[in-house]
Amino acid sequence: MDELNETKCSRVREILTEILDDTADSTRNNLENCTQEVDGERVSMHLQSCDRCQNWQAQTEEMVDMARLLPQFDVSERLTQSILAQVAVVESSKQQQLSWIVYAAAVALFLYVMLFVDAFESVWGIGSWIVGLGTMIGLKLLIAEPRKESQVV
Amino acid sequence: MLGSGTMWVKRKKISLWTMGNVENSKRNASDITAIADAELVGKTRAGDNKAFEVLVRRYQKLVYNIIYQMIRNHDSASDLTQDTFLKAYKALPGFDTTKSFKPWLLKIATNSTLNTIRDQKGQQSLEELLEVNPQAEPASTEDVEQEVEWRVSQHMLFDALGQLPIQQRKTFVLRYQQDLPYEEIAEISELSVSSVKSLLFRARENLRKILSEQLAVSQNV
Ligand SMILES: [Zn+2]
Repeated sequence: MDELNETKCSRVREILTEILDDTADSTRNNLENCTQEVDGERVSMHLQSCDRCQNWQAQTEEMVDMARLLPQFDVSERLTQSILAQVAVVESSKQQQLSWIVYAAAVALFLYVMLFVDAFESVWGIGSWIVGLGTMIGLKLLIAEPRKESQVV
Repeated sequence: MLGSGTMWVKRKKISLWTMGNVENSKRNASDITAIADAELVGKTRAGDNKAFEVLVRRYQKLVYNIIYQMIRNHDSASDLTQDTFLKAYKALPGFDTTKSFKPWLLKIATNSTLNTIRDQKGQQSLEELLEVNPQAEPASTEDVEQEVEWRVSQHMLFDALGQLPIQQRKTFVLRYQQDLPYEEIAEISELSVSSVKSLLFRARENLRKILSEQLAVSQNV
């Protein structure tokens, strides 16, 4: 094959590639409608007369079709369960972190009420005590209960 | 005061859980597996692990097979599939909900796999690994078009695919085995659509060259 033809063929293949890349399923349709020319020759005309480009097109299409049929492996239930178990570990450590933050906040609030709001010296002070204690118990219940529920679900 | 406070907390809790249960049973009655990715992502972020399980079951096969084609080892593919979902779960709070979940997940999968392959290869830089493979240089038209009868088996294509540089192989698998659109592949690979197309072109030409050589050997000898 002379150099001139080789350049022509590779340009034809560039155009064919664009068609193939655009809509792999309707290559033939698009090829028939394709009015692009290379050196004054329509791509479809070149294809009819050039064995090499015909081969190229057939081989490319076969490869692409074959790729769709390559076997795919199923994922075992064991792998799925292992993924879900790991996710559950992450989730529970997140909740633990969260519960520590809530505990720390509750303790800080409790200490604040005790040390800085003149606790025990007035009725109001005792009221603060109770509010602090109530907050702690309430928060503890709030974070402990959903965890139990989510394990059941 | 304390008593009524606790009651309030309890009542609120109960009503919340009742709502949750009604929602759960409604969902079971319809079909949780029909829910769109975005909604499942939202539910997972709100703490519903059942929603994440649906996402795992929806995409585990796709993730596994893409990773397997890249790394070609079942044990590594299993480990990396687990790793992918775990990373996704941890990163989900920062996930940009205006984007699709699937390309985001596949980006995690393919990047993890590329990193693992790079670690396995040791000294070789990733760039080297991605593009340069002396056995799979772009084909010259001359030696591809030997007079061979072109009958390619799945086994041959699988082997030939294994000889492609990893980035070309990944792109070929995403496009032709998994039938993903260019835009998604571009998002997964963090490349432009035209770069994806040029990778695909090189992948196909290299594959044709490798297959032609194999066919020539088996037919002439
Ligand atoms: Zn030609």
